[in-house]
Amino acid sequence: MLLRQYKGFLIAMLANGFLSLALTELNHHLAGWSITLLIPAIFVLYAGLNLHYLQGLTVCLLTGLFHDAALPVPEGFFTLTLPTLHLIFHHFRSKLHKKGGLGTILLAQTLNLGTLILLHISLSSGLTESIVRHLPLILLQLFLSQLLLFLIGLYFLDIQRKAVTLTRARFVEAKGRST
Amino acid sequence: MPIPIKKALRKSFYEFQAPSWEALSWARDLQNFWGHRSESHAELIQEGRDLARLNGAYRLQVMENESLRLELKRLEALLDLPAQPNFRYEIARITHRQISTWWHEMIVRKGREDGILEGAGVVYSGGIVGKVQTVHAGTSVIRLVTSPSFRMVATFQGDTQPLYIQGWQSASMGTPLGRIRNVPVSVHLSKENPGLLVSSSLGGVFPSGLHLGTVDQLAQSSNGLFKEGPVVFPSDLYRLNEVAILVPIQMNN
Repeated sequence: MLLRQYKGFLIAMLANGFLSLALTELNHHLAGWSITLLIPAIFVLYAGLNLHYLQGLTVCLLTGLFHDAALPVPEGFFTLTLPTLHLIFHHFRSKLHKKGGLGTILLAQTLNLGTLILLHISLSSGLTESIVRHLPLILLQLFLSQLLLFLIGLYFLDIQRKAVTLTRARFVEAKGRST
Repeated sequence: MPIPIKKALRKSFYEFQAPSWEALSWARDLQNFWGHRSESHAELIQEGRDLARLNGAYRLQVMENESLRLELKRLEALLDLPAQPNFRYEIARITHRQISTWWHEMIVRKGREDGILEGAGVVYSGGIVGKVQTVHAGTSVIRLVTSPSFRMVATFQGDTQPLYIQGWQSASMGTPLGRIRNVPVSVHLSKENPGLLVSSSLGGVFPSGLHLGTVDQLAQSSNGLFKEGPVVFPSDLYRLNEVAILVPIQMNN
């Protein structure tokens, strides 16, 4: 019963964990070109559009803590930004389709870009010279991150929705057998 | 939130996901293993022959090193000099690399359980990699030589004048860069006559003579007393899969 109640939460956590791992592997291979791709908005898509507010918020908070521990970002950056992104998604969820769509992807792109710009601004204080020298590489990383989000964002949301539907079918089947 | 709680939270979340990175690295090794399994016998025999030749050359170098070590020991005893620090080489596989404009790190599959210490030097066959920044239970974070917070003492090959090396955020894709400071104004370098930088044992972290990088241009520093310029590190620095961590034997004992 408890598992059934929290299956959306568990699936979201697992999916975020796997995606985070896949992103780590991708960045490991891109490191040779000094490129790191970050797509924080993708981790709140499902939680913001499909989960209850508190469950979604917990997913984003935990994912943020995992990100902060794994990346050399300012202390608590993702722990603060992911729940904020979730709040924005949750606020607009009545206007967006639960399965995604153009509105969702546009909002995700805007929020992702905003978060990354904020991250770059907070990290730029550690630069020993003008940021202008690094702008081409930063812009390339931003563009590739946005492109990756555009390419896999809706698929990732769909996978999580399908996983929940599958487990629901299993639960119903198991319940039917037991009665 | 109080800083100790923040640190504990970060550490526990790091340790929680570290096994997944290790698993990823093991999976990569396994993929590599199966990739080599498919190689033909002829290829393997050829590679074995190449390795045997390399082993022969290395064996000669080991013998030469051993005689030099004994000579050094004899001179140290004769002149009553303090002994040079000894190191144990702990080979570590890289679980993943985190390199971008902002960060220059690698995470390796060896940690506190393997006797790794914070601040220990990290090297590879091509020279210096960096220093151990943080040590966790089974993993360690390495700060690369290209990181702006990395500093070390170096010398030009064949010279004893200590120079100051600092990492430099590269604005181009995949070019590991650093900066050299405190170069005497009498030094003149050019593209045709570049300077080869090697490590110095002055810092106590690295043994002397390990390859660092090359310098082919120097300019007057702002104070006018010295020269400074960019250091180009080996291009394979950002594509490493395995490194050796220098664990000081004296410190360990």
